Amino acid sequence: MFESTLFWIFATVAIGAALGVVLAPSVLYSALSLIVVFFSIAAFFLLNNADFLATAQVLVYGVGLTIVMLFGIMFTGDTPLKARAGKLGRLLIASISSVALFALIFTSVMGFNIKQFPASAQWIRELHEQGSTLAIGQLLFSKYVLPFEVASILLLGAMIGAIMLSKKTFTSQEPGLTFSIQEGRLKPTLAAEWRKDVGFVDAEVAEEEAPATEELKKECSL
Amino acid sequence: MMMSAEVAEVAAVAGLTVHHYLGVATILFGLGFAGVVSSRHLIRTLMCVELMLNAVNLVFVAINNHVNPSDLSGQVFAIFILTISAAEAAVGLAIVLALFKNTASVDVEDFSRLKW
Repeated sequence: MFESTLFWIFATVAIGAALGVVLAPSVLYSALSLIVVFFSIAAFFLLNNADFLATAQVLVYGVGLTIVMLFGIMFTGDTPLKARAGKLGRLLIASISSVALFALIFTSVMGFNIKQFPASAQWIRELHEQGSTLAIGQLLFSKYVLPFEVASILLLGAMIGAIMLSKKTFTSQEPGLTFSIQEGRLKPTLAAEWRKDVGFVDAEVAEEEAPATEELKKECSL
Repeated sequence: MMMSAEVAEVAAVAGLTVHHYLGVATILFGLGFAGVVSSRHLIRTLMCVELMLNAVNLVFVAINNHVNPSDLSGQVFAIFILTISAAEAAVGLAIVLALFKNTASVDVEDFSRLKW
């Protein structure tokens, strides 16, 4: 009875917050309600005897990933998008396709009728006493050791890729065009100027680059 | 397979079947899909993808607990999904920031250069 009450509470919270993620007017609010969804899914994991996974969920999703998302929102600015034509058609297509997908999955899932093998009472007692961390670790390093290593290579590749994608690209030879935020709006600025602003450039390079920046300024018609 | 008395008692007290969890996970997955299709903000699209991945994680864990709890393979799969979604979020946000640096926009409709 107690578990069932908890389930319904967290189900309501999770679905309401997921609606908030999709429908919130500001993307910042949807990031904040995403945190609520992650925590209630961690509660579902606890109801399913998955204590290690619930902890990992809170640490990785509830804290780490949402902070990364919030950083992304801070970098890009929370300005409302420009109004565009065809909003109604887009909404119609989106709602029809998602309702159809939901109905398809829901009917097939509710017909899920596989033979269920309940655990022995001793195993459940062990899980409740020691937690699932030991069993997961043994599986991870015996049966699933190859996927584990592949996942570590994937993480390394993702880390290198993210760093390469987000590093600055211009060099001192070619002053590139970059953007800066002035008066709440984005304006193109010149890389040489940017470097002068932060006290990065030495006088010689600045003199050499001066005509180039003038030309670029004319082209950009600042 | 005989159900031991204690397990039967636990199941009766809980009153929760695997279908409860599957239903909630389906609703979350559907909402995430609706968000991916309808949202125009790139970061919100990424967040809805995370929502869908979480729904799949919930299915793995619930089925593992209700169908075959003595083997925790479902939870190990959920851990792999968690790893991959963390990598996906990092690379996705780096791409969003690179796009924003080049076009000063996070609107999906602005990135139609490959459309014909």
